[in-house]
Amino acid sequence: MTSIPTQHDHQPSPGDPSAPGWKRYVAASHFRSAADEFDACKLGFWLFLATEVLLFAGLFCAYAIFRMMYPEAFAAGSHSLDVKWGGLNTVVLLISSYTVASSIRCAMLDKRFWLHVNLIITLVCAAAFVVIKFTFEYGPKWAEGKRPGVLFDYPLWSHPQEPIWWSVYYCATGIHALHVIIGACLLAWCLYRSVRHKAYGPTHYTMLENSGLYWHLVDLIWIFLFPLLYLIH
Amino acid sequence: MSHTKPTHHNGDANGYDPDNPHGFTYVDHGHHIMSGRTLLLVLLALLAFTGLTVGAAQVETYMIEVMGWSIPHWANVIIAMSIATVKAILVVTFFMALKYDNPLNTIVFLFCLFAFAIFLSFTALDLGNRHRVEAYRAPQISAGGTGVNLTRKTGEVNEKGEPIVENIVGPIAGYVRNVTIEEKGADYVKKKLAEKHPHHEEPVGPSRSRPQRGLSGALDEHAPASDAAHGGH
Repeated sequence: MTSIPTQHDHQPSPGDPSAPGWKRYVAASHFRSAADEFDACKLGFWLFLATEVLLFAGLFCAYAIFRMMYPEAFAAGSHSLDVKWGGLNTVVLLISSYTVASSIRCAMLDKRFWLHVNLIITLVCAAAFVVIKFTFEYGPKWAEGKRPGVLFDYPLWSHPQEPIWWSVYYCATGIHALHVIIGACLLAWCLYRSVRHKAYGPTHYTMLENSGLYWHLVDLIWIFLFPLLYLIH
Repeated sequence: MSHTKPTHHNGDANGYDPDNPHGFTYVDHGHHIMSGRTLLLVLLALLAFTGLTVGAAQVETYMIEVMGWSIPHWANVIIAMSIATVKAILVVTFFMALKYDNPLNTIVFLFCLFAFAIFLSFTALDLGNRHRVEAYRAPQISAGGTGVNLTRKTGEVNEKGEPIVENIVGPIAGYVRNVTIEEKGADYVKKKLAEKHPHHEEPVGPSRSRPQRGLSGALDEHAPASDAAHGGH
């Protein structure tokens, strides 16, 4: 039906300097094939993603418990967030998730130009997310004294347990923002390798695939953080 | 475009194949290339669901605050979390391509969610029911951080150049407000709070959330009670 090659058709030509990086790639010798190596790498990465979910599980659990104990404080804290910025960041992350998925599709179809375009859009979205987060959310809130735990310095609170809300808010969104930055670094590395070495093509794109999975996980976490923090009063 | 990996049958007389010593008959179905149309439709669905969840929250706020309807507290949670779950399933199925992937990766992910569910439910069961199980110990137990008697640096130094540390007696929120009252007067704080809550009403009806605590309520043991009623509108 189609002549597009996959990992099964991978026939490395390591000695040919004119071949693109993905054709020169040789799978590690302890794997039967490039396809087996790809599957093993991906399974390993999913196991890592499971530990990432459990990292955020602790934060979600803290949110659930403190919300159960102090619903009024959480309602008051949630009210001082602006749905506009949270919603905009949601849209930004969803678009970047789409472009990452598209970039992997382009690698599989050997469309290097569009692979690069998609990755660049993703990186722009990542930068936009972090800039929006710090400029319009963290900055003004911190200046007002709406800070976590012992740093809290906002005298006009509505509920005495609001410092707990801010602790949960800064921890959850802060660790998420850190993941956005790490994910952007991974994808920037992929872009560099693709531009410099033509590293990703139909028969080899493992690094791109796993970086993409990481990025989707970051999106997935935000899909739950957004309603929990901004929408549920 | 299912791509079938040929299984090895080139063993010796005893059926032993050095390329496949364990006799795997695993058939890989190749790596699915997502259609561009599917990816775009998934993105549009995700954006639509984002609009829907923001809209639902706004409609609910409007109904409570303007029309005075009483909507059960959990309705908001159920709607927002259901939409988030649908979005998450879309991301995992199509962007992360678990639908077309080795089922083992899906099992890893689902098992991780199962662990999360145990974590969350057992913690909630514990904290939500301590007062039932060991009611007689309530007066002795002060579990969790009390949030009282903290110290923090003021950012200023004394004449010896050592940082000035202030002692905070009572919860941080009450301390911060008392400092402002001392500096600017009680009337100033009262005026500012009135500006913040222009249509302040006492929470009424069964739909309003109320604090539930078991034996871990020590966090607000010393909280000033008078202003707590401002919360959560």
